[in-house]
Amino acid sequence: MLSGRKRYRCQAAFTLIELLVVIAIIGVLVALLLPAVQKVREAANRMKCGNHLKQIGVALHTYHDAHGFFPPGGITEGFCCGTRSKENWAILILPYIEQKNIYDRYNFNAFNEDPTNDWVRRQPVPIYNCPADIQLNQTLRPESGPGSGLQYMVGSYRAVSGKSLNGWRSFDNAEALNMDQGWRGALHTVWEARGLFPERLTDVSNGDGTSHTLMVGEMTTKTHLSRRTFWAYTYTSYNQSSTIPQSRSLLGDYDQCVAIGGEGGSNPCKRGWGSFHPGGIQFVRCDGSVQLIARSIDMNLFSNLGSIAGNDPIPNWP
Amino acid sequence: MKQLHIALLFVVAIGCGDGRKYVPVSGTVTYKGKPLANASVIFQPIAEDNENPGSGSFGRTDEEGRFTLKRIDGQGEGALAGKHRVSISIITGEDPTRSDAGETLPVNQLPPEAASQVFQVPETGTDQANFDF
Repeated sequence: MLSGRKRYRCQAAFTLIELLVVIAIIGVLVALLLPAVQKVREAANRMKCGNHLKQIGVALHTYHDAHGFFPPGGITEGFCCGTRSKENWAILILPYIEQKNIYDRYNFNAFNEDPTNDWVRRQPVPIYNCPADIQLNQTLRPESGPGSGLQYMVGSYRAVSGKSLNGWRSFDNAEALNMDQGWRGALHTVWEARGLFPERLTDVSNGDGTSHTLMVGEMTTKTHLSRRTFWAYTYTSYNQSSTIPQSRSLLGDYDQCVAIGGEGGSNPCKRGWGSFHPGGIQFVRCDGSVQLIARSIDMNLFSNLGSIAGNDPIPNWP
Repeated sequence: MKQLHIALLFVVAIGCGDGRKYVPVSGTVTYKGKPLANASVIFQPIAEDNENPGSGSFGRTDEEGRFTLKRIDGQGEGALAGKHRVSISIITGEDPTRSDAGETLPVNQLPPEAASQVFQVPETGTDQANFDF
């Protein structure tokens, strides 16, 4: 009897080995589950990020309905580089994304860099943040231009100013005057005194077509954060980028892009595109649809998608 | 046996990835007959029947003008088999140590044809991707 009870008691307890096995099994299960959870989170972030782009696209079309043309990518009154700028597309569509309180405090008679616009420059706008992006809702000093000593709120989306071969000559500054006008994008720099006007939807549909023209896309970088997107900073390449036929311009890694080098030096990196989605970079097209573009895309095709009237062949584009 | 087949299928499926084939590529750049040092060599795939041919490759020449290509996406060495637009450049007018660098015109010191070469990368790779102008 006694020995039987003793044996029973021994069997009721866990041995160390059994415990370790159980822990190991749980460990394996968690290890299997974690990447799946991570993937779901990434997919959710990408969808929310694309949804923001969709809302930006709708806001741009609402602006077009109200004014008869798309907003300027930015407004300049001189050539690079010391020139101060006026407002940009992201400021102009604020009333159409429920941010009229910020819009009302922007002084359109002053320059973007003037002290009177300091409050607007530092405001976070939730729709301009992609949830997959890093270090959101903080102000930083941009790398260059008249606003380089000022604090600007970061953002995640830039306007497609047009096609550019090497990023130096591009439609985000007055160099646009020296370029093939067929390469201009839907939202480029405007300088009305010199004949650079904003675009109409009919210009796009009579050109390459609304589904063959990108309007706004994701731009972030994991290095050199002073070169990321600043939604309220109009100056050249901080809320407008170009479509450049170089793979390195899609890396989302400014320092790596500069280290690779090539035509245009650092300019394709300043005017590139980037996201933290594994699949690619999202854009909203002029027809309002959101599309994920893979980093493996044919860069000539990508470059042509940025222009509204390039008359370039765009084969089999969905 | 059935499990073995399934395991094999997995290995094949993972091994193939997206079906793109990167092969080792190296070569030499000469300018007016002399080796060109410290030049940027960029290979950009030209799609013939595919919207997503894959990312390009890059290299930098050493003192003997030799370069070996690496993938721009940082996932190893080599270049895609197939046709490429090749751009060779030595950029001046930029000082990467200055924070406002690049606001002056970056100029390729090489003749224009250096930026618009075409090269066919063979299926087996090559160590003879040589350019001379």
